[in-house]
Amino acid sequence: MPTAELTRDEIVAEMESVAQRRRHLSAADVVRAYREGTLEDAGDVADVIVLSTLLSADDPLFVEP
Amino acid sequence: MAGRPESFIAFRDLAQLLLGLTVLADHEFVQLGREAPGPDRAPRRVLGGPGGYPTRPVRLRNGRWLRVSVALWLAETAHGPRLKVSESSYQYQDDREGEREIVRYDYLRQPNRNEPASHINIYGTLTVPGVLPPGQLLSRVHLPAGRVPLEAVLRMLVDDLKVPPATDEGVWRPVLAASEEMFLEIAHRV
Repeated sequence: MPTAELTRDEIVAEMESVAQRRRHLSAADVVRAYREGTLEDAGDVADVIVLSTLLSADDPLFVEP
Repeated sequence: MAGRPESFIAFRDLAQLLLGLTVLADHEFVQLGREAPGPDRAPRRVLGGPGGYPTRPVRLRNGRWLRVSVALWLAETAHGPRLKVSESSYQYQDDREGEREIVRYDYLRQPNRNEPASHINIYGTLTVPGVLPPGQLLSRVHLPAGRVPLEAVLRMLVDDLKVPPATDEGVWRPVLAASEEMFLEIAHRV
């Protein structure tokens, strides 16, 4: 059974696509709200949250603008 | 489950076995995403559908879909490294895109403070009127649950939602039972 080698850009692009489509939010906003415990119905984007665990803590996505 | 790097592969293989014996359509696979260091440098991987994306569901034998999203990491414990699940979500849905959800089991370690970490969302309607506040959808009610294993979800799909299983009951049922017993022993271990 295969193992997929997703690149960092592929991960972020998928997170952005799903977060925008379901919640009209950026992936960074979804993950930030989740980590702060303020994201309502987090399960609706649980797959985005799971995907975010592959990014390093200092990934640019998580750096405050 | 042991805490070696190949534990990720073993986890995926077990999930594929359980799905393949029960509800998974032929030629469908769950896949692992790449290994990455987590915030604490512990190795992390995710289990998902096609391409290793936890956002993409696998097709079931009745033409519906199951989104399998699991975040895994190797944690250092007093007993050595152990494979842990930080978040998991299993969603049964009517379409590939997930626009028509049916039921979802979530285990989220950092949920909204008003929502239980382990909960079930049902995308349906109550037959008794006046139970929910005006405008409130049943799907937005987070029904508290213990941590629900994949085995229990698969059993529910076959027994109650009548997804046709890939193998005889004498094959899949004891395998699910044995695997679930191991899950419960590990998940409840301090």
